[in-house]
Amino acid sequence: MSETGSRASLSVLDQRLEAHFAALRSQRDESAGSEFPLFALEHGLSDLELSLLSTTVRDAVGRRHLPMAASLPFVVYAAEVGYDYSGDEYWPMFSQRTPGWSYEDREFIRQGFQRFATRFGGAVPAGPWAAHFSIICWPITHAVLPTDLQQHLVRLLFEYRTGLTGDLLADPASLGRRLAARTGNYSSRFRYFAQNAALLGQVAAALLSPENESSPYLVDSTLQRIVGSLSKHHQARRWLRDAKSTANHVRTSGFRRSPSTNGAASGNQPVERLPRGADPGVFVQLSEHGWEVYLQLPDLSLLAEQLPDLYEQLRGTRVRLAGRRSLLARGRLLAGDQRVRLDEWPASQVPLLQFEGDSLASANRLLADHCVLSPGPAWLFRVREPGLATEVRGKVVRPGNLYVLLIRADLPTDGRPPWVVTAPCATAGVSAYIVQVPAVLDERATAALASLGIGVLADVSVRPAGIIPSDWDGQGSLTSLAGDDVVIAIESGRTVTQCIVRLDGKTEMLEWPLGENELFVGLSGLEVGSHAVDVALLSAGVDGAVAEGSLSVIVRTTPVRPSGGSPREGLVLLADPPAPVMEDVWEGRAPIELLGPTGAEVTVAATLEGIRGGVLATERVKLRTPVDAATWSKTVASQLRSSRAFQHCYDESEVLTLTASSPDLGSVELRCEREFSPFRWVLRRDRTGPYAHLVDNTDGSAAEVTRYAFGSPATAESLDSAVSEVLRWPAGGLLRARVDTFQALVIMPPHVHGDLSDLRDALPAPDIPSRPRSADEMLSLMELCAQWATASLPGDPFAEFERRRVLQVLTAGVVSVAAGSRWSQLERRGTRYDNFVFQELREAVGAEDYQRGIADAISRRLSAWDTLDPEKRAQEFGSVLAAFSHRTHVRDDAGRVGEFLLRAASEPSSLEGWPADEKASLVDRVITSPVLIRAARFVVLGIHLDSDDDDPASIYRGWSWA
Amino acid sequence: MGVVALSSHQVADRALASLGLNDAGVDLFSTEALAESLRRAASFHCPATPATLIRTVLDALRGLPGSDEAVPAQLATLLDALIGVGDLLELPSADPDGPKRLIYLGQPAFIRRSSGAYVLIGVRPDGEPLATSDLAGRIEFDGHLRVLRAGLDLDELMAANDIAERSVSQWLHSPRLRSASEVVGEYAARLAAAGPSGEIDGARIIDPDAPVDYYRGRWRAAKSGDSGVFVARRPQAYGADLWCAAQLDDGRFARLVDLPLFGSLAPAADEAWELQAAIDAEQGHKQRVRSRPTSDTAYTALDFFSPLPGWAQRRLDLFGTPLLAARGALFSYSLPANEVAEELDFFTQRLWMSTDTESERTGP
Repeated sequence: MSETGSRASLSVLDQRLEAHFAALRSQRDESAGSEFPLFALEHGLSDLELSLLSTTVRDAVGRRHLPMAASLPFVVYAAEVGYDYSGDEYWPMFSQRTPGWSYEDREFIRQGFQRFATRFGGAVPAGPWAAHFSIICWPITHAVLPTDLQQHLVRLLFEYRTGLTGDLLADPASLGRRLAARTGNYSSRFRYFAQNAALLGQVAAALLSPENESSPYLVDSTLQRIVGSLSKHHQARRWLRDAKSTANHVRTSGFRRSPSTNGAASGNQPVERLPRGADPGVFVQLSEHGWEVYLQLPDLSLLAEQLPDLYEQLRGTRVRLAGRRSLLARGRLLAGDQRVRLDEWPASQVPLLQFEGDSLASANRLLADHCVLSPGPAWLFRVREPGLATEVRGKVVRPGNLYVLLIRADLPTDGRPPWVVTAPCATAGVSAYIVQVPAVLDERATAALASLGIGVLADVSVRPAGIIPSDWDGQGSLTSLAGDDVVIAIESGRTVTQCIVRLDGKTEMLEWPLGENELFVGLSGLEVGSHAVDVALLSAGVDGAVAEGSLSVIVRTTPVRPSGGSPREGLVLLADPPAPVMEDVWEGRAPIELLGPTGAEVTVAATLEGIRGGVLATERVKLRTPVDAATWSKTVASQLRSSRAFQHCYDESEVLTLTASSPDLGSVELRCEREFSPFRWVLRRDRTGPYAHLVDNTDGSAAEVTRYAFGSPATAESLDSAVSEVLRWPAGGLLRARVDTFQALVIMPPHVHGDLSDLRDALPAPDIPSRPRSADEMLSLMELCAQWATASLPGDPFAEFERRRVLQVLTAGVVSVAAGSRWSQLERRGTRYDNFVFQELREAVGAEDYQRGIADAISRRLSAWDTLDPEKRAQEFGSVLAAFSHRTHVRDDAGRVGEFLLRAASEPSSLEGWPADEKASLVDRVITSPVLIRAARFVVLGIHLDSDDDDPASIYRGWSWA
Repeated sequence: MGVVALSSHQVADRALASLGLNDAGVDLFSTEALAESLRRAASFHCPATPATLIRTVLDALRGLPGSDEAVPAQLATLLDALIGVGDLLELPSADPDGPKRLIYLGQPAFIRRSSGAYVLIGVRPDGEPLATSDLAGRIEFDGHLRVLRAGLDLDELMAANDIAERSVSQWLHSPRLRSASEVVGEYAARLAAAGPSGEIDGARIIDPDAPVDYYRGRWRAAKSGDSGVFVARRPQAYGADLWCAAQLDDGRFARLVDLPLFGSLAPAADEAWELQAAIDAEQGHKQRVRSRPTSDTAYTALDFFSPLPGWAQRRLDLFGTPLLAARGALFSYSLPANEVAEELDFFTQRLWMSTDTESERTGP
């Protein structure tokens, strides 16, 4: 193409696109509204025109002719590249397709998209993802739905189909928020995409539009293109068809939410809180110790519609459950149907669930509002089968039925009816009674129940009928899946002529079928949420209602099946957090459990896949269930890390799939993708040895690169490195890159020929210079520990070996800053040869009486502590320090101080996430009173010397912190 | 949002629609619909005790046309059949304070019949359908079984719905061939090694002297004169009664072992029913299978009067079709007439059954 021809083509194409997008804007304003943006992919060009556009843009780039006045062809071209983007590097892909493209021209593309957004109301990238990928977010957003995300979206639509309503289909923004809240188990890249909930909703609404009708949200040609791509995948095609079919059904049923739904009562009466989908189920179970209280916690990701960050917070933070001593593991509340035994009944003024730490105030408020127990002081449970009773939230009994009553205070014997009998209770804070309600209740009995806050339902019952509900407490609370019919039966032994039914404030009078004792009632169009049904029975010739009853109905969407299997199945792979990234599984940061019946033989297959899906390596391990996290770490994780094939292929792979299977139980799969980060190191190996390459999609300023050698792990060395450069470093160590707010850390393996002994010869032992005794020095070494500990680990086993040595030296350094010269000498000698002498350590704790007392107390307890997990040891250790509080000043906060000291002395990086001011204050205490850290280190090394528990993920034996 | 009065027949229609059976030509209390109801209850409540699943279905169906006193027993038999075929799994519970064994969901899978049809097994959690609508519309319900007739695109449909194939050999895996005395001897040896049991309150045994043709009538408390190895059930604090093998000494429980004894993943009832078949054979009144011609000469009906271990039931599920139980029988199957001899041979070899033939031609 000549230069003149090229310029002319560019101009013609620009004009053609200008006219197209201007017309499309008007059309969308009219059919959908001005708030719905246009996308560059909606260019409406034919294949031939698109081919011409590509040729023209390439030619213009080759000639360095980049006119902003004719930028539309470039914008469309960049969006087309984005359509094929699958998570690797955008600019190298762009550059490969566009000879002559210069990395410096990125700004031209961004400005082109910004101009498009201004002129045509084009989509503006939003969400944290857009902030991180500040330029490539434009072409990828304007690609509408890149090919590799299409299947994810239709699967999401399929799974949510029963939750669709006419209102949602007419309100893409709300639809987007609902869908985004359910993406927790999807890949990190799809989760990033879903952060722009408005875009997600617009695309979803377009995909769900009726067949043979234009969507107001997306131009036909683009929609058909996406549907065409999807149709190549059988499963995706079926998902989309079923989701569309449900959407069509919803549309044709014409249902719209009435203004006063979701439990809102009419008038200005105070509204009683209805049970909600996030409230836990409560049941009591009889054990040999007495009645025990269990909570059945739902999948709380359903609350993410109200607080988009909630999923990540549930995924990454442990949760304190009132009434239970231990914290709930990260992600436990995303697994759904989690049964948890309470140690004591929660205090009424304490929120039931709260995140660990104090920083998540809005999430804690949400949990406090939406996940609550029914109010006390008495709680009623109906015995459903021997030894098992479920809560009756309405606190009403039915004559002749058997109940368990839990109450805060003991009931006095005087005046207690003989049919209320004391029962053993294994849950603290409440007393238990068996209540065998007589078949006929007199006034005195009714009054006795009323004094406990319990009512009587004698002449009417309301229950679900015909359709098996998702849950039914047997008396007054029903849970149904969205999309299911709800039918209730109203039953009475009285003579009834009419029945008044009030549903969410709307009242209907129904004729009672003549001669029947039961009336069936269909409740249609119930939206997701809580609904109140009240009934009053009328009888001819009788003033007022002869009987009244009520029912609460919760409608919920189908829970998302957790990756790794549902607890309803016989085999579950449970990860903490759920859906962990590949790096966390490889490095042991994401503990995994395999749940199943005792003794079942299960084969775990681990597979590494490359970026295009090809299998690179597979390993198989046979196990017997159940497998706890520690056993998993010692067996599966250990075998994978020592596998030559995995070591060789790990750095090249993008996905690690774990599949557990058994002929009797079936199979479950956990798919762990490499973290999708805009700024990361990629490690590769060629004949010359390992090398690193920095992927930078942040489009910010040049990265600052620093390295720390294995031999001198506390000494930073700045590197002058361009982003695209391949970085080789035969000695290996920690590589750190920083740009703006991003940091990428990786352990570069040493280039070693031979085995471990060759490594020892080739590399000097890690060493760090002595540091002055100060809180700042101690905190700075802790920060360095965290960098080494959290850096990505390659497949090369030498890297892991060397990092462990470094972390031991750095931990010894943290201790030595405060512990004094005598202790530092022991550390230096012992760490170098991993040869600590117990008696020397004990004596070095201190010479003063109280210091010897602390050392003696620890010595006596060490063998018992060996069997405890580190958190429990910390409590015990804190108690020892508190016993010498006159000198240690450790008193009320003994457990917390003990935990801080043991973490600092065994794995300082595990203190990441502790509040900075608390950490600084505790470090000050250590500097003032060095015996604290010496004593803690004595505990750590004492256990290390005796323990057989050599978890490769921990720095010292026996110190795997949760 | 609306409120509308419904007749009981309208409720039954809606219930059938919720099970995906509105076009299946069955009523709400048919074997097919009750089996689907149990699957739906399981998808919401597992892990659960059998009592919870049965109660959940009964609660929903109360007062609807067709409900009668026989339904609870029918549901109990069906639940055993669903466990036998692999829709549900009976496994040891993870909760040491709860029931010892619970029902879990079996994972979706299919088994290929020699005719090219597929038997579908498994249940998805939380009410999720087994398959997308195009596949779901082709599922045929035969008693407790779900079957897909042969079709060119079945494998593609299975893959698209993430339903894996279970090999026939794996599915039909059964214990090695043993004589009845060997089986009774194995349990007797285990009982001899167990400690004294003491009295077991509320325990019931299968009476070996009661007629083998009426299974439910064989259960009773132990009484004086009962000595030897018995199949028994004993109550536990929470959950279904536990299956066990018991050594009785003149009506008193001397020793007892909980089942399963030879593999925790098989339902306890499988071992119990195999042991009972062996005891019956040893005592000279073998359990019985009756064959009879049907109106279609290509098929023969088999009537069973005692429950079968899952590994035996699965053969019938693979080669036959469940029928309405014939009068007096616990359950019945229809099999191709040319395969009946082989199957009868299996039951006489593996469960020491006696066979007899009825000449009168009946349904299906």
